[in-house]
Amino acid sequence: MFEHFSADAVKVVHAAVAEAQRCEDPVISAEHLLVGIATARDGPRLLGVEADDVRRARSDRDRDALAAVGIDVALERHVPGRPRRRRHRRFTRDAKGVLDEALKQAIGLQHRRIGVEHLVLAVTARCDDDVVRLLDRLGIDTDRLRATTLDTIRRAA
Amino acid sequence: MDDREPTVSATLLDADADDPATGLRAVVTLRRLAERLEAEHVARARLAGWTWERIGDALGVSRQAVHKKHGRS
Repeated sequence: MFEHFSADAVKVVHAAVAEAQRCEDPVISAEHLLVGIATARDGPRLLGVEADDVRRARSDRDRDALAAVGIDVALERHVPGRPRRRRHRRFTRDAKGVLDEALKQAIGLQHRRIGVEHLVLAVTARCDDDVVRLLDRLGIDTDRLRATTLDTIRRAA
Repeated sequence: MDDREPTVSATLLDADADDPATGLRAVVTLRRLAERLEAEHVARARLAGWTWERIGDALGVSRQAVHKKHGRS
Protein backbone atom coordinates (compact mmCIF):
# COMPACT_ATOMS: atom_id res chain seq x y z
CA MET A 1 0.00 0.00 0.00
CA PHE A 2 2.97 2.32 0.51
CA GLU A 3 3.28 2.99 -3.22
CA HIS A 4 0.58 5.66 -2.73
CA PHE A 5 2.48 7.35 0.09
CA SER A 6 4.48 10.53 -0.45
CA ALA A 7 8.14 10.46 0.59
CA ASP A 8 7.31 12.44 3.74
CA ALA A 9 4.44 10.10 4.62
CA VAL A 10 6.76 7.10 4.29
CA LYS A 11 9.18 8.88 6.61
CA VAL A 12 6.37 9.24 9.15
CA VAL A 13 5.87 5.47 9.16
CA HIS A 14 9.62 4.85 9.49
CA ALA A 15 9.82 7.39 12.30
CA ALA A 16 6.95 5.62 14.07
CA VAL A 17 8.83 2.32 13.87
CA ALA A 18 12.01 3.99 15.15
CA GLU A 19 10.07 5.60 18.00
CA ALA A 20 8.63 2.27 19.16
CA GLN A 21 12.15 0.85 19.03
CA ARG A 22 13.62 3.75 20.95
CA CYS A 23 10.97 3.50 23.65
CA GLU A 24 11.21 -0.30 23.68
CA ASP A 25 7.47 -0.41 23.21
CA PRO A 26 6.33 -3.89 22.21
CA VAL A 27 4.12 -2.78 19.31
CA ILE A 28 3.82 0.13 16.89
CA SER A 29 0.68 2.05 17.81
CA ALA A 30 -1.25 5.03 16.52
CA GLU A 31 0.61 7.05 19.16
CA HIS A 32 3.93 6.25 17.51
CA LEU A 33 2.45 7.40 14.22
CA LEU A 34 1.54 10.66 15.96
CA VAL A 35 5.16 11.11 17.07
CA GLY A 36 6.15 10.24 13.49
CA ILE A 37 3.82 12.91 12.12
CA ALA A 38 5.36 15.44 14.51
CA THR A 39 8.84 14.62 13.16
CA ALA A 40 7.74 15.24 9.57
CA ARG A 41 8.64 18.44 7.76
CA ASP A 42 5.07 19.84 7.92
CA GLY A 43 4.15 17.93 11.06
CA PRO A 44 4.69 20.53 13.80
CA ARG A 45 2.97 23.17 11.68
CA LEU A 46 -0.09 20.95 11.18
CA LEU A 47 -0.25 19.70 14.76
CA GLY A 48 0.89 22.85 16.52
CA VAL A 49 3.30 20.82 18.67
CA GLU A 50 6.78 19.35 18.28
CA ALA A 51 7.74 15.67 18.47
CA ASP A 52 9.27 16.17 21.91
CA ASP A 53 5.96 17.59 23.17
CA VAL A 54 4.22 14.38 22.09
CA ARG A 55 6.97 12.30 23.71
CA ARG A 56 6.65 14.26 26.94
CA ALA A 57 2.87 13.81 26.94
CA ARG A 58 3.29 10.06 26.52
CA SER A 59 5.85 9.88 29.29
CA ASP A 60 3.63 11.95 31.62
CA ARG A 61 0.69 9.72 30.78
CA ASP A 62 2.74 6.60 31.66
CA ARG A 63 3.85 8.17 34.92
CA ASP A 64 0.23 9.01 35.77
CA ALA A 65 -0.84 5.44 34.98
CA LEU A 66 1.75 4.13 37.44
CA ALA A 67 0.65 6.68 40.02
CA ALA A 68 -2.93 5.45 39.59
CA VAL A 69 -1.86 1.99 40.77
CA GLY A 70 0.17 3.46 43.62
CA ILE A 71 3.65 3.48 42.10
CA ASP A 72 5.56 6.72 42.21
CA VAL A 73 8.63 6.82 40.01
CA ALA A 74 10.37 9.36 37.85
CA LEU A 75 10.44 8.03 34.29
CA GLU A 76 13.41 8.92 32.16
CA ARG A 77 12.39 10.84 29.11
CA HIS A 78 15.34 10.12 26.95
CA VAL A 79 17.11 6.93 27.68
CA PRO A 80 20.79 7.26 26.99
CA GLY A 81 23.20 4.42 26.61
CA ARG A 82 23.44 1.31 24.58
CA PRO A 83 21.47 0.78 21.40
CA ARG A 84 18.19 -0.97 21.89
CA ARG A 85 17.64 -4.45 20.67
CA ARG A 86 16.06 -4.51 17.27
CA ARG A 87 13.25 -6.92 16.84
CA HIS A 88 10.24 -7.20 14.68
CA ARG A 89 7.30 -5.20 15.94
CA ARG A 90 3.83 -5.45 14.60
CA PHE A 91 1.49 -2.54 14.01
CA THR A 92 -1.52 -2.44 16.32
CA ARG A 93 -5.03 -2.52 14.93
CA ASP A 94 -5.32 1.20 15.65
CA ALA A 95 -2.12 2.00 13.79
CA LYS A 96 -3.19 -0.02 10.74
CA GLY A 97 -6.53 1.73 10.97
CA VAL A 98 -4.84 5.12 10.74
CA LEU A 99 -2.89 4.04 7.64
CA ASP A 100 -6.03 2.65 5.97
CA GLU A 101 -7.98 5.76 6.90
CA ALA A 102 -5.26 8.01 5.41
CA LEU A 103 -5.84 6.27 2.09
CA LYS A 104 -9.60 6.84 2.39
CA GLN A 105 -9.04 10.50 3.26
CA ALA A 106 -6.86 10.97 0.19
CA ILE A 107 -9.41 9.24 -2.03
CA GLY A 108 -12.20 11.34 -0.53
CA LEU A 109 -10.31 14.50 -1.44
CA GLN A 110 -9.46 13.03 -4.86
CA HIS A 111 -5.75 13.29 -4.12
CA ARG A 112 -3.39 10.92 -5.87
CA ARG A 113 -0.90 10.67 -3.06
CA ILE A 114 -1.12 10.12 0.67
CA GLY A 115 0.70 12.94 2.38
CA VAL A 116 1.38 13.85 6.01
CA GLU A 117 -1.82 15.92 6.03
CA HIS A 118 -3.91 12.84 5.18
CA LEU A 119 -2.30 11.01 8.07
CA VAL A 120 -3.33 13.89 10.35
CA LEU A 121 -6.88 13.75 8.97
CA ALA A 122 -6.88 9.99 9.52
CA VAL A 123 -5.89 10.43 13.17
CA THR A 124 -8.73 12.91 13.71
CA ALA A 125 -11.25 10.76 11.81
CA ARG A 126 -10.57 7.62 13.82
CA CYS A 127 -10.60 9.16 17.27
CA ASP A 128 -8.85 6.23 18.97
CA ASP A 129 -9.19 6.54 22.74
CA ASP A 130 -5.47 6.60 23.54
CA VAL A 131 -4.72 9.13 20.84
CA VAL A 132 -7.58 11.43 21.75
CA ARG A 133 -6.46 11.43 25.38
CA LEU A 134 -2.90 12.16 24.31
CA LEU A 135 -4.03 15.01 22.07
CA ASP A 136 -6.11 16.28 24.96
CA ARG A 137 -2.99 16.41 27.14
CA LEU A 138 -1.35 18.42 24.37
CA GLY A 139 -4.28 20.81 24.29
CA ILE A 140 -5.26 19.69 20.80
CA ASP A 141 -8.94 19.35 19.96
CA THR A 142 -9.53 16.75 17.22
CA ASP A 143 -12.35 18.65 15.51
CA ARG A 144 -10.28 21.80 15.42
CA LEU A 145 -7.22 19.91 14.18
CA ARG A 146 -9.31 18.43 11.38
CA ALA A 147 -10.65 21.85 10.39
CA THR A 148 -7.23 23.54 10.37
CA THR A 149 -5.69 20.66 8.41
CA LEU A 150 -8.43 20.85 5.75
CA ASP A 151 -7.81 24.58 5.64
CA THR A 152 -4.10 24.02 5.04
CA ILE A 153 -4.90 21.58 2.24
CA ARG A 154 -7.29 24.01 0.59
CA ARG A 155 -4.81 26.85 0.75
CA ALA A 156 -2.10 24.67 -0.78
CA ALA A 157 -4.38 23.62 -3.64
CA MET B 1 12.51 -12.08 59.40
CA ASP B 2 9.16 -11.90 57.74
CA ASP B 3 9.09 -14.60 55.12
CA ARG B 4 5.49 -14.32 54.01
CA GLU B 5 4.81 -13.89 50.35
CA PRO B 6 5.03 -10.25 49.39
CA THR B 7 1.53 -8.86 49.18
CA VAL B 8 0.25 -6.57 46.51
CA SER B 9 -1.06 -3.43 48.10
CA ALA B 10 -4.75 -2.65 47.90
CA THR B 11 -3.94 0.36 45.74
CA LEU B 12 -2.24 -1.81 43.15
CA LEU B 13 -5.28 -4.01 42.78
CA ASP B 14 -8.26 -1.72 42.96
CA ALA B 15 -6.98 1.55 41.60
CA ASP B 16 -8.88 2.74 38.59
CA ALA B 17 -10.75 -0.53 38.23
CA ASP B 18 -13.17 1.36 36.03
CA ASP B 19 -10.44 2.21 33.55
CA PRO B 20 -8.68 -0.82 32.06
CA ALA B 21 -6.61 1.46 29.81
CA THR B 22 -4.87 3.03 32.80
CA GLY B 23 -4.25 -0.29 34.52
CA LEU B 24 -2.86 -1.94 31.39
CA ARG B 25 -0.76 1.12 30.62
CA ALA B 26 0.74 0.82 34.10
CA VAL B 27 1.55 -2.86 33.43
CA VAL B 28 3.33 -2.06 30.17
CA THR B 29 5.26 0.80 31.74
CA LEU B 30 6.34 -1.34 34.69
CA ARG B 31 7.44 -4.14 32.37
CA ARG B 32 9.57 -1.72 30.38
CA LEU B 33 11.11 -0.32 33.57
CA ALA B 34 11.90 -3.86 34.74
CA GLU B 35 13.58 -4.66 31.41
CA ARG B 36 15.76 -1.56 31.64
CA LEU B 37 16.66 -2.26 35.24
CA GLU B 38 17.57 -5.83 34.33
CA ALA B 39 19.78 -4.80 31.40
CA GLU B 40 21.56 -2.23 33.54
CA HIS B 41 22.24 -4.51 36.48
CA VAL B 42 23.21 -7.54 34.41
CA ALA B 43 25.78 -5.30 32.71
CA ARG B 44 27.06 -4.16 36.11
CA ALA B 45 27.28 -7.73 37.37
CA ARG B 46 29.30 -8.71 34.27
CA LEU B 47 31.66 -5.78 34.85
CA ALA B 48 32.03 -6.95 38.44
CA GLY B 49 33.10 -10.34 37.12
CA TRP B 50 29.94 -12.34 37.81
CA THR B 51 29.47 -15.50 35.72
CA TRP B 52 26.34 -15.94 33.61
CA GLU B 53 25.40 -18.81 35.88
CA ARG B 54 25.54 -16.67 39.00
CA ILE B 55 23.52 -13.92 37.31
CA GLY B 56 20.98 -16.50 36.11
CA ASP B 57 20.66 -17.86 39.64
CA ALA B 58 20.14 -14.35 41.01
CA LEU B 59 17.41 -13.67 38.46
CA GLY B 60 15.86 -17.09 38.80
CA VAL B 61 16.45 -18.04 35.17
CA SER B 62 18.90 -20.35 33.41
CA ARG B 63 22.45 -19.36 32.53
CA GLN B 64 21.54 -19.89 28.87
CA ALA B 65 18.49 -17.66 29.08
CA VAL B 66 20.35 -14.73 30.62
CA HIS B 67 23.27 -15.13 28.21
CA LYS B 68 20.99 -15.27 25.20
CA LYS B 69 19.19 -12.12 26.30
CA HIS B 70 22.15 -10.02 27.42
CA GLY B 71 25.18 -11.78 25.99
CA ARG B 72 25.86 -9.51 23.05
CA SER B 73 26.68 -6.43 25.08
